Amino acid sequence: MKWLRAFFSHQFELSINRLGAFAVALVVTVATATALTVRHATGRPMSLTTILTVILLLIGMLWGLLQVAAYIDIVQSKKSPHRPPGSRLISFADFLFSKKINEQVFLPLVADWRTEYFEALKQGRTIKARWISIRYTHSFLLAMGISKVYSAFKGLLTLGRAAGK
Amino acid sequence: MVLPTITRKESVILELLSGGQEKYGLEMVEASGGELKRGTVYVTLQRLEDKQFVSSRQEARPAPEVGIPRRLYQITSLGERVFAARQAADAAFSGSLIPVGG
Repeated sequence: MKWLRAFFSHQFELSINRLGAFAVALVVTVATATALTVRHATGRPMSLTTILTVILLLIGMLWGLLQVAAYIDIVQSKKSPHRPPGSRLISFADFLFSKKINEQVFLPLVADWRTEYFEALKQGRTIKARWISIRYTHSFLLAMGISKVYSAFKGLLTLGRAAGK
Repeated sequence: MVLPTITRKESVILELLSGGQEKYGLEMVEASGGELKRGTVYVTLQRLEDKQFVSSRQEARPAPEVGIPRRLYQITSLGERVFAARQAADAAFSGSLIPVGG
């Protein structure tokens, strides 16, 4: 099966889901081929149209299964439990705020979040860890709102001073 | 020279840092007895840093540890002077108050 793995890994990063989808498609293909052979053995000739239709159906089925498996892979990777808390919010804040504000406000907040979160997990208190995440998400969003208001106020103050000179 | 204005939250932070000891933001939240919140403490600290009343540095981490380093905060000499002046002003103001009907 080395060649098969090499063939698929050329186009896809092989995973359990995709291998599973391929296995199902392979079983269906073999079963259909066997059924057709048996039918042919009974003496009834198969038309070219029937053969082409069956081949097209099998290719379509294999492709569809691989697509579903790839979609499941994407969904699972997004729900990965290994992603530390606050990662998405940090990326969001990185997009909205300057590097200085991120370093002074959001990164220390997430550092505290992770400290408390992993401390709770270490003690086996999963519900507390979830509650910490909820509380810090709220704190993060609050900090984002306050930071925006504060930077807008500072901007207005600078403009006012410049206009006063 | 005009005494810089500081808010109640800023005053609480300066009071907590006034011993000269470095503190984490979370430590200050826990020590404030509910006056400081997790969502606002870093914004207030950033404001104090802008005013140069507080300085900060990232904590040093041993090599195998990964992740975002926490930040340690310390009061500056300007911050100490402002806080002392604020305390003196508060004491003078409260001492000069005449009770209602007195």
